[in-house]
Amino acid sequence: MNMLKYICVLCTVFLISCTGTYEKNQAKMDELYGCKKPGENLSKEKYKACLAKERAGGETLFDLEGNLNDLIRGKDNVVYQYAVNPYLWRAAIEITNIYPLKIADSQGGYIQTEWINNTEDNSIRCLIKIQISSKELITTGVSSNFLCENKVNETWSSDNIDYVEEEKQITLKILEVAGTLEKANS
Amino acid sequence: MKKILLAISAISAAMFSTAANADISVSGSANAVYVDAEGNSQGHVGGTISFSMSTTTDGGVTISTGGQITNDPDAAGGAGNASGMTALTFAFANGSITVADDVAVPAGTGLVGELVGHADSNQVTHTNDVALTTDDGSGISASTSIGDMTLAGTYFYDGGHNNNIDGGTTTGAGASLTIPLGDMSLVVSSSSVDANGTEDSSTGGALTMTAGGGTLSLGIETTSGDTAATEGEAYSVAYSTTLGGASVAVGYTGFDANSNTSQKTDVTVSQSIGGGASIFAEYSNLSGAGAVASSQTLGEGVVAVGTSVSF
Repeated sequence: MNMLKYICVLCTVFLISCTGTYEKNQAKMDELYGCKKPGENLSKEKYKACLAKERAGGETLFDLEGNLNDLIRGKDNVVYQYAVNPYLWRAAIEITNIYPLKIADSQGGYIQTEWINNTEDNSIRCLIKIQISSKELITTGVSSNFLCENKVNETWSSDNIDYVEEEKQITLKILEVAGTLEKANS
Repeated sequence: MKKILLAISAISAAMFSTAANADISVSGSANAVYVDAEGNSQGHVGGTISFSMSTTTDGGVTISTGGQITNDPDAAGGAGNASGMTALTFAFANGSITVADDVAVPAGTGLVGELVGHADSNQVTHTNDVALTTDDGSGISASTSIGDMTLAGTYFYDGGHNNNIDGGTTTGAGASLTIPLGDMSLVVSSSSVDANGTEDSSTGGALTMTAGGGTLSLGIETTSGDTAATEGEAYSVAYSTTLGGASVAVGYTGFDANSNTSQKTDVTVSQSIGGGASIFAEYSNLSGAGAVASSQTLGEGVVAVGTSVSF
């Protein structure tokens, strides 16, 4: 009977909970608890795999590639190191190169287009924001935002629409192009 | 509104002629670890390949599953196995639901001081562990957010992992609630399991906060029910911080159950060396009246030193 109570309470809360804070809360919990995140209840095997990834993601003791380059080529040579994954970055640039860019920060991995006006309807304009957040070519290493505004009485204001599908398409296209670029270079 | 949507569709269609919905990723990890339990030494050399698959429906529901091929990442043997592919997770904007062969109730929430991943091999056991004998099985779990709080619940109907929905002899249910309290975070959980008539329950809480440049966690865990050996409580504390580039964590747990006490101290140090690799050292000591005496193969103090790599 206790189990039924648990299920009923959970289902009720799940159905009425539309606060839209789930992803944000999950991200906070990932950061705070790591492999011991409440609700995950990982098996020992999965916990160890998680622990290995967590430990590998810390601050690096030394950069072996950089040190070897210094030894072999001499310290005067410039060693370019990407702050973000170069394939994701190049893919994002390729995807947005048909639009004027307002910001293209390769170190921060951030791209923002200028407002893109609709030639058929001057009362609508949109822009794209892309954030590359990973040095590795992973699916979670890129996120996109698609924002639009409407002009009402000569004043631009947000249309308050979530363009989830468009943002997903941008992200998937970047991942697709990045994968192609990586294959071509391997 | 229709015009707006048309305009957006035109923009996105011009940019993206093809778009796949499915996402399949492969990752892996491997480790080589030297483990010493007071003279009984062994090596753990192995790894895991993990496959993650997901897709998103037209309605915005993300469905995901995954599987693993594992070969002894934490034992001195050579037998591999495949696992996973027995769970489906449906993620919505306000939560997720998982149907699986191996969902677990939230037991052990308060045991924040248990930190090691390898240095518990060949360690003596204790007769007064504060834990549920079975805490997982075939079932369903769900989580959702209520404001800044996160509620998760699990019900398993077959502790034998055979997906016997109406005939499982071991069943269990539990829920956990995570509550942000300013700079702190509180987790409380409660679970109960009925193993063929033997009923046990577990209640735990953990408070995590920043302190002195690190993270301090305080926890309490209690179990009660028909199994006398695990009836009691445990108090646990952990502190983690970084020294230079290394991550350092210390944990202590005191058990008082089955009319006995025991203490477990864990220490871990890990250092990333770039490229997804890290070197680490772990130490764990379990002692007290509730701990089984050391033998030729089992020790109270266990040391593990090794490297792990994520691909």
